This record gives sequence, C-alpha cells and structure tokens, in this order.
Amino acid sequence: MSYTSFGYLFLFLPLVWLLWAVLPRRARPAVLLAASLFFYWMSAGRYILWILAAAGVTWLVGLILGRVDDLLTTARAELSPPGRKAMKKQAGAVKRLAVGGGAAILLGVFLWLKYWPFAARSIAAVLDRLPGALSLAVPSYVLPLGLSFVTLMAVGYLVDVYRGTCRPAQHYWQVLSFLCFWPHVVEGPFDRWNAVSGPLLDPPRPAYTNLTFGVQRIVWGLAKKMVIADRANMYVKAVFDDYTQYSGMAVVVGTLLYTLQLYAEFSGCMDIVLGSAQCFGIPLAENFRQPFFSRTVGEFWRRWHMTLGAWLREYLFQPLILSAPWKTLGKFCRSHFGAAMGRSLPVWAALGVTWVAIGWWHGAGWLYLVYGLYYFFWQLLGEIFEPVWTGRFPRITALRQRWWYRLFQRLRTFALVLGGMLIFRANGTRAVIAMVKSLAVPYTGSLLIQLDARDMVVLAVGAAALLAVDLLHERGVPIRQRLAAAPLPLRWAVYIAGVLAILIFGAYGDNYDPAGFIYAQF
Amino acid sequence: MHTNEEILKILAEVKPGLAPAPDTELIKSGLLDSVEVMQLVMALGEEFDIEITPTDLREENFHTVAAICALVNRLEEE
Repeated sequence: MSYTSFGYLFLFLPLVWLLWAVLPRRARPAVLLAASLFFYWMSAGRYILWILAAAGVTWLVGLILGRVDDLLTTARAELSPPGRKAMKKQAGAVKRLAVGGGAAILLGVFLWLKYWPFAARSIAAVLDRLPGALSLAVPSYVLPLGLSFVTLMAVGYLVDVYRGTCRPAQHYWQVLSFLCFWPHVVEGPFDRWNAVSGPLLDPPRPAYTNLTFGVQRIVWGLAKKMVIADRANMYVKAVFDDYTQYSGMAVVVGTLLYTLQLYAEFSGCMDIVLGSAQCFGIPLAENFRQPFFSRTVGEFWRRWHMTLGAWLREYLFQPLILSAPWKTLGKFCRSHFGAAMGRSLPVWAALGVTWVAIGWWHGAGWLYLVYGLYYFFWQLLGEIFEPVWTGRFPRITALRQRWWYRLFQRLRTFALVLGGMLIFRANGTRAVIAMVKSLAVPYTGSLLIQLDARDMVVLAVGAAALLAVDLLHERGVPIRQRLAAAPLPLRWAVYIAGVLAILIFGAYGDNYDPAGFIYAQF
Repeated sequence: MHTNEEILKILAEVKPGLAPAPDTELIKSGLLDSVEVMQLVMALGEEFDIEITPTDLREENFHTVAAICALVNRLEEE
C-alpha cells in the first residue's frame, strides 16, 4: 500500500484514526499495532513472518540484557568491592554475548538477503575468467519490505539497551509496535525507542492541533511528490535510461531535475509519514533540515537523511574509533607520523568505513561503493586542507562570515552534490563515465525532453516554492504555526489552494509514469 | 583537577584558531563537527590517559569547554 494511494489516504488513514480516537485510551496501542500489521501484510504479504521473527529476537535479547542489569544492581549491594568488580566483568561478558548474538542474527539476515546476491555475482564473474570448471550460482531474493530500516532500528534498540541508555520493553507486542509502526516501516526515518515508545504505547488524547498539523504536512508532502517529483521523473528517466542519446546541457538539466526529484520525493515522503504519525500525536524524527543550505559536503549529509547519518555516527563511526584496533592504529600513527596524524588518521579511516557503509546501504553494487567513496574523497580533501587554509590564510575565518563567501560555499557544495546525484542515478559505473564525458559534447536537440514548456514552468515554480519554504525554515520562521494563527478564511484558502494544486498540477493520468518511492527499495 | 585552559590548548591543536570562551556552545553552533569531536576524543584520551566510551559521547559532555573539562575530571576520578 503506497503512501500516495487512494486506499491509504482516504480509507486506511481516516478509518484507523477514527477507531483510534473513539476507542478507550487503553485500547489505542492495540489499534496502532493492528493497523501496522494490516498495512505490512497488505504491502508485503507473507514477509510479515520476517518482521514478526525480527521483533521476537529483538524483544528476547533486550529482555536478557535488562535482566542481567537488574541482577547486577541487586547483587551489588550485597557484595564486597572485589566481588562487585568480578560480577560486573561477568555481567559485561554475558551482555556482550547477548547483544552480539542478537545483532548477528538481525544483521546476518539483512546482509544475506541484501548483499549475498551481489557478492555471489562478483565472485561468479571472477570464477568465469579463471581456467577450470568452478562456478557459483547467483541467488535472487525478494527483500522484505523495510528490511534495512527495521534491521537498523532493531540493532539500535539493542545497543541502547546494552549501553543502558534505554530500558528494555517488557512485552513482545511493544517491540513489534515500535518496529512495524506503518509510518516508518517503508522509508524510515530511523526512530529511537526512547523518542517514540512513550506516545506509541501510551497514546495521548486525540488533539485538533495534531490532526490539522498532520494533515497539512501530508498535503504538502503529496504536493512535492505528485507535482514536482513525478513530473521531473519523466525527464530524468529519459536522460538516464537512454544516456547515449544525450550530452552537454541535457545531462546537466537531467541531473538538476533528478536532484529536485529525489529531494521532493524523499522529503515529501517524510512529510507524509511524519504528518501521518503526528495525527496520532506521535513525533517521529525529522530526516531533512534544509540540506541545500549546506556549506560543506559533511554538513550536507548532516542535513540530508539525518537519521541514517545519526545511526551510522552513533553505532558505527564512533564505536569504531573507540575500539581496540583503532586505538592501536592511533598509537602506530602517533609514533610514526606525529601527534596530529595520530589523532587524525584513525578518524579518517573510520570515516572511510562509514562512507563505504553509506554507499552500500543505498544498494548492493559497485556503483554504490563509488557513490560512497565520491563523498569520502571530497570530505577527506576538506579535512586535509582545512588546517592548511587556516594556517596560510588566517583571514579566511573572517571571510567565511561574509554573505558572498557563504553563497560561494553553498554553490560549491551544491555542485559537488550534483556530481553525487549523477552517480547515484546512473545505470552503472560505465554509464557514469560515459555521462561525465558527454558533458563536454554540446547538445543540439531540444531541451524539452518528455516534458513540454508548461511542465518546465510547473517544475520551476515548484522548485522556487521548495526553496522559499526552506529559506523560511532556515531563518527559523514557524510556517505552520503562523498559518494556524491566521484568520479562518485565509487558512482555508491556503489548504484548498494546496489540494487544488495537487489536483490540477499533479503528474498523474495516462501521459505520466509516476515513480515508486526511491527509498522504499532499501 | 584539570582546567579549562588545558582543554583549550588541546582544542587549538585539533582545530587551529579555535579559542572559545568556557561556556561557548561548540556543537549546535557548528564550531565542532562530528569528525572534530572524535579527533578531540582521541587527543583527550592520549593527553589524560582516560578511556572515553560510546556512552560518554553525548552532546552535553562536549557542548562547551567547561563540559569537556568536567567529563575529563569525572573519567579521571573513575
């Protein structure tokens, strides 16, 4: 069931909300769980068994971790200091075993289903070139809906319980409610147990503000998806799928429109899912913070798909740097290259691993490795040259406060992001090379590819509207609160204009080929 | 007990030119990003021979020079 489908918007969501609102408070968590399971079953059928099992493993391991902590707390009061120390050590070992086992099961299934076909394909390609009769069958799996999102949220929960930053859920249905909650199961965001479990398991009263703000956000998300993303997709699909026919400006416009498409689509989807959850008073994590106002590539990724970045920072990048092998690497670098390199090289190595993970999270293929390494290269370059810049040109710190220098930094970052977008959308590494080369070849055909002048005007106005809204958010203007405070006729005029814009300018019907949500494939 | 001045000296090594007041916000203001925080963690571990764990990597422990100093003193006592 797609978030933009008639069934979701006009049947599922209103009916679940009505049921949730009219039933007694203690029945509301059950309504949300039943709705989530129904949504998952409608979208993924028998793969519901996977999410039921994943929730079971997560709940059980969490329970073990919590039990060990409780035993430790009880026993501490009765033991002498050496005894306490010994028991803490034993408890630590049991907890590490439990969290390691749980994570291995969850990640094992994830890695097997998502990456083994790619690994097998790569190994088979090597075997084909070797003499002998060795060969390897390449499997093909259908991925359960939300495999990446649910797995990482479950592992995050286990690590949080292990670290003692959250208490484990006592009941299976609580973990299941968290993991399969329909607004975040398809495309995220990666939510944290501590932030969501309260209102999910003990729902607040239905509130007019939550409902209206939620619906506003859903309408805004739909407008982004249907007016901008699905329209831009026509152009993008033609240029990227048939890239040998296009060059120069056509490739530039195609890449620009793909950037617009992906932003409108992914942030639009987040508006729909966050708006859906807000109707029920559940605040999901924000995934975007005006990414195109970033002044560096690193900052871009702290504003784009923020919950993925946060997850990888907290559960991969930081633990790697604090791990024993990385400390050994730090000592080695310090003794061989000096103090500055001793603290920088291990961090850059962990950064490289994290970028590879970001690349491969987006897809199992060499192209996605290139995608991750592309951003790693630019960020590393920035890290290496930053001290050189500030050392050689001390005035640069003051220059960076000037508006024109900030604008230059933003445009530079945008240009680098466009390069990343080209890699991300291209049909393979060969296509990337061919498309980059074709930039030098002038394009003599019409730039109205698959779209007419009217479509281009709609896209330009849509892009300007996105930019204007982002600019207001960047300046801290609370748009929805301002709208809510506006007189009734003005407020409703805006709502009706939003719905009419979708109905009139939305890209649907026979001439359009609406794309599925890109991030739903992960 | 370590002082803010010692932390400032390490901060200046990690990010040349950075000389904030003890209560200047470092994280939300963007003065330190996640890479620089981890370089600082490496430098603190080396300088003071302390073990910083993932649970210590909370924003409130790194958001000002004074908070970093408090963290170092706490970890050293432990």
